[in-house]
Amino acid sequence: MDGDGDGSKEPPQPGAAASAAASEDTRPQSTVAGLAKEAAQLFHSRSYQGCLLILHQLQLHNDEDPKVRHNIAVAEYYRDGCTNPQKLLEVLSQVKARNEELARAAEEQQEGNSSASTSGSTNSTGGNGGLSSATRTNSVDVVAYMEDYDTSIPNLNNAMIMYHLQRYAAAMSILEPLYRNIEPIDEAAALRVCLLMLDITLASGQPGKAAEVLQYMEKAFGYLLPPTEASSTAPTLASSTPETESLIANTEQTLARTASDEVLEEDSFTLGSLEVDSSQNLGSRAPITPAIAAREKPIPPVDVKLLLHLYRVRLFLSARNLKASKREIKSALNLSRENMTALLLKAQLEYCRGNYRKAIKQLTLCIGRADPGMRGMLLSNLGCIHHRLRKDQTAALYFRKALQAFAISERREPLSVLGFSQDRSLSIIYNAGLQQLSCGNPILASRCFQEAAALYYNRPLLWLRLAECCIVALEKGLLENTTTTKSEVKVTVVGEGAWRRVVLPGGSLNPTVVNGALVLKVDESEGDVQIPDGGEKWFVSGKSHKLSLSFAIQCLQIATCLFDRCDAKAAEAAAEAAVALAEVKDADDTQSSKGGGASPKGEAKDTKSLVAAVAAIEEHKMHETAALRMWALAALSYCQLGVGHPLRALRSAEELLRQTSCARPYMLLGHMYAAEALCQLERPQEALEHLSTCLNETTAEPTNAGAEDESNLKWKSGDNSEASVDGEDGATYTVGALGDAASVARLTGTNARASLYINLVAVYAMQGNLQEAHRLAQLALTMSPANPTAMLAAVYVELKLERKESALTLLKQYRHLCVVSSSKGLSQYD
Amino acid sequence: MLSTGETAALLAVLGDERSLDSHVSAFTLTFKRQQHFKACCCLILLLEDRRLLKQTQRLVAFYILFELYRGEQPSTNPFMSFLIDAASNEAADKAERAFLQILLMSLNNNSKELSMKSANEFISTFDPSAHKLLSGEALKSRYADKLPPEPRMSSFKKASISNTIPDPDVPPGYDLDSPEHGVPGGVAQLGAGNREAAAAALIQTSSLNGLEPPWVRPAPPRLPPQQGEMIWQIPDTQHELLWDYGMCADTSRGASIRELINRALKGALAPAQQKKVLLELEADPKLVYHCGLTPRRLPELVENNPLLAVEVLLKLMNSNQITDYFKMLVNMDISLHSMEVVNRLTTAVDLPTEFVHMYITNCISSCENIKDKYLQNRLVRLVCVFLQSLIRNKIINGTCLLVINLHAVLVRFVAARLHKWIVASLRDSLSCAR
Repeated sequence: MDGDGDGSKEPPQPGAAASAAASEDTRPQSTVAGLAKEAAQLFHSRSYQGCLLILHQLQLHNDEDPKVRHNIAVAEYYRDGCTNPQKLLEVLSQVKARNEELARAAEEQQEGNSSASTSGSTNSTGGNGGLSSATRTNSVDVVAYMEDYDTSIPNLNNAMIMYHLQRYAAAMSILEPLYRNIEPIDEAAALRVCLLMLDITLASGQPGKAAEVLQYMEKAFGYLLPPTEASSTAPTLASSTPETESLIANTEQTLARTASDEVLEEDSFTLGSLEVDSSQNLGSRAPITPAIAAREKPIPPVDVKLLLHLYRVRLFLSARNLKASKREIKSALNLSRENMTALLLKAQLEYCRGNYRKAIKQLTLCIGRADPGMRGMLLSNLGCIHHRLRKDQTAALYFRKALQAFAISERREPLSVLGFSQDRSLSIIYNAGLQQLSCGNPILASRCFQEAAALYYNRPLLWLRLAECCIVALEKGLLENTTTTKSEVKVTVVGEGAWRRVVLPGGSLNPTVVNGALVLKVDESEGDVQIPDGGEKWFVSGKSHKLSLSFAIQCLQIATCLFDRCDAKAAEAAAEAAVALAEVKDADDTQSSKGGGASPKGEAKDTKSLVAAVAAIEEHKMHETAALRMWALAALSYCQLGVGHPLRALRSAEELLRQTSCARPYMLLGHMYAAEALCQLERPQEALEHLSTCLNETTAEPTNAGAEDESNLKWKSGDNSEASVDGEDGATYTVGALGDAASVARLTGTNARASLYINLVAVYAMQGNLQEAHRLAQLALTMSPANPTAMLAAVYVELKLERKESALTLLKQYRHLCVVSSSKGLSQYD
Repeated sequence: MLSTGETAALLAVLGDERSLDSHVSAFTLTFKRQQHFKACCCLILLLEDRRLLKQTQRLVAFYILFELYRGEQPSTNPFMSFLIDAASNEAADKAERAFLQILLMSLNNNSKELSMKSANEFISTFDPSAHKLLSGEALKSRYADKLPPEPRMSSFKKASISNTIPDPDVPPGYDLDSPEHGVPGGVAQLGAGNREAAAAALIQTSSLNGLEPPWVRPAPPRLPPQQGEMIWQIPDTQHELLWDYGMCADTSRGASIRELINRALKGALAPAQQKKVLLELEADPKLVYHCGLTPRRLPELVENNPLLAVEVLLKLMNSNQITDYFKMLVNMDISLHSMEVVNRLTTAVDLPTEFVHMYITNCISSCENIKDKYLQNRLVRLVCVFLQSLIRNKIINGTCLLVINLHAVLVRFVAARLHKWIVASLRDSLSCAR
């Protein structure tokens, strides 16, 4: 029978590398360790060649040691100038697999030992044997317990490479388990895990997670920060040592007691061990003592503090909490005046506050000492500022220069991972596209956006912009096969004398796709839209797609899909953030009611502002998505009307009207598009209902109600939202999602009412109610005498009423009439 | 719609005085088959304008429209509805209407009575009283089978009207119908104009699209730049890859601790060994994760070295495995050691309440299930003291339902001289309630 394993059996030796004794080599353990240390030093002093020599020597000991293989791969990667990430990734996955194999083998071995011993022991309670199979832990968890088969470092390196390759989702999937199980990982690696998490979450728009990581870092790595005003970690540190002693004292005491366990009479002793009262508090959640093993190379504490400040700045800037950002940036710059990231963030702060001149000054100061990669970024940022200042030419110039800077630096060196991650060409191209669109160059803008789509395909806003390019091109008459809205009435005069006739423009006045060459199967069934051949391949082919209304429809549908996909997640995130905020507020209240102490206040305030920032970001995201979705639906309905799909247009318009918090101009659009679609479907009665509803709503409010809607949709933030008071360059830049002022004006007030009247004229005419039609036409004409459509509507009614003379009179009185006479020389007739 | 030459040819076809049939053959000669439809549409354009063609020309045009498609069986004449409307138009000339109605009747009986006549002849020999003109509804019902079904078209198209307005450029008081004009060779008068030229120009410039009711379709407003849409560039933090310091490292320390832990699982450790373990764990906070302890092995540790188990669990409080450990604690058999461990834990940290409650529930069931009287009594006593301790340390609420249940169970043991303990526990519980 196996007794207890006291010395009779060796516990299984971990790891093959350390078992120099197992190999036949006569080198003692210490030399191997010494070599390893030397290799580490060479690695950190960047002499990779020498490092690799030593590593190969070590590899001779044991070919299969995963750690040696790992370090070799890393050293080679750096030696080659980071140009071959693929090879490194392969080695990393092999190392991970090998580690897991070895761990599993060792675990089985150990289990073999332990089960052999427990089967024989008599004093163990009977439950254990039965439980051993029932609660078998996952081998992956076991690996974490086996120091020598620890895969945290290979995983972390893997995640870093993914991050540099900008594959954020992949990096996150590797990093998330590491973060969740961060306790077993040693200090330095844990710190790097947290920093990488921060970078990824901030880059991929997950502020909630970022705030969580920041809070964790402050708790866990607080000791690394040099003591500042409200550091509460210091006192607990001091108390840990006496507590450790008291712990040992207690242990000895109670050990003495438990020896008399079995004797019933000595109840008082037995029970005394249970009567431990809370005064013997051993301290909850013992803080981490600074006794790190000497082998790690800690990051200098100043850097960590600086980095934390910078991350906080980024978080607060996305939340538009400008006060907090300013505070953090100040602290960061106090720590280091030269840090490029800090300076750029300061410039961004000024940009957000509206102090454009300060921001420009800051950036131009930096340009002097920047290397080419950085130059590109600085030029792009200057472009952003000039865009806000409405200096279109300058902005476009800056973006061009930025792209050139990146092209130059790319040509100089071979492509390395670091160079790739620094290359911001695609985002600058996006900025340039935005710039061109606001200047009114839709074709150029669309080319930019299509190129940027390689990176930003998941961003619905990109697709909305492409659709907008199509619509703007339509308005400018740049689309093929599509007529445009005419702004004046063109009539042709034929014949002379008694035979003179006036020919009015025929057909519809609105943009229509004229030529059926844009092949969309015009069946109104619920089936799929047939995309023209090769239409969907444009992503792959790299050629830019021609703008057209059907292309706009495709883009809008992609955007809507993306919105739907993100909706559930966004709602969740927003709810979580709101809950967290409420909790923090509650905690704050209870603390203040108890008269809470001074020391936790600094931290609590920090946490509160972080949580508030996250809540603000999530809420704003939801508002923005709602507003963009509204726009997308309106644009979709418009394009579908243009392409000749009234049923689909009707559906989109109805969905637009169903949106909660639909702003007034969009309600108008929704009703108008729905009415037009219904008329095209021969349902003028329902169209009439839509238009009447709209008319009632419009007449109920005064004409300047449009402004308040716009302010409702503007950015709402907790503390501190608008540009600061001292924002110079007062180009009023409204960051509202509603629409820019000029285009919105068309949809409110008198213009809206006139349009409504005109459309009502049409509907009444279709129903044969010419009296109403006539009355409304006169109203419309008096309201906006210069409107060509109003004039035509009146003429139409007159013609319908067989009053040709009054029709002619109206035409002749109209100021913006464009008369073309057909003077074709028909010389055969004289 | 047609080119200049074609327009001229069309008008020529309409012009001369011939028999109606010869007009048709002239038409088919001038226009190839695929142009027929277009040419006919131009005829319609001309016909819609009431005055542009002479009466004879109108009759000729109508005849062409009929004849061209008469032979096309089984399809019907595409212009049938137009023709029927023209035939029933009250405002039209009676002769014209009669002509059309005769043509319509001739569709059925295929007579060719009109083919040899010329238009002029018909007009001159027309006797209004001889023909009974049918109304529109009658015509439509009679020829319903010839008409295609009502096409589905948008209300816009349905409501479209002719987009040509006659605008005679004549002095006021001028009578357009007086026969003074249009006489060839006559003096060109003010406002005379040229009929054929006008007709030709009309064909050139217009299309069959009528004037639809004008509609305003406002474009959606421009989307302004969104918050953060313009991407501000900041450099990425450079993450340098990590060197694996565990390579060839000296793991003897960890190995020795693992060995000690293994021993601790099998039996009580000597105090010196316990002290060593605790010191090592204290010195390296990560060691506790690598010391080889898994939740599965916890019960053994608890039984053999309860205080060591307490310390280790305290160190593992922050790990995400702690729930597994708690589960093991709850599920293992209740014993003095496990109670001691739980007791110490409750005073040291905030344990989750459901864990404490589950543990107490476990206690209850154990009390009830132990067969051995001796062990049962002992256990009951232990549970009482444990409860007392928990209540005193305010870990649980003495009046909560669970504790009441537990006391109800314990009361059964009053007879076994355990009342002292039970009463003590009850007393604490009740004092809690005040």
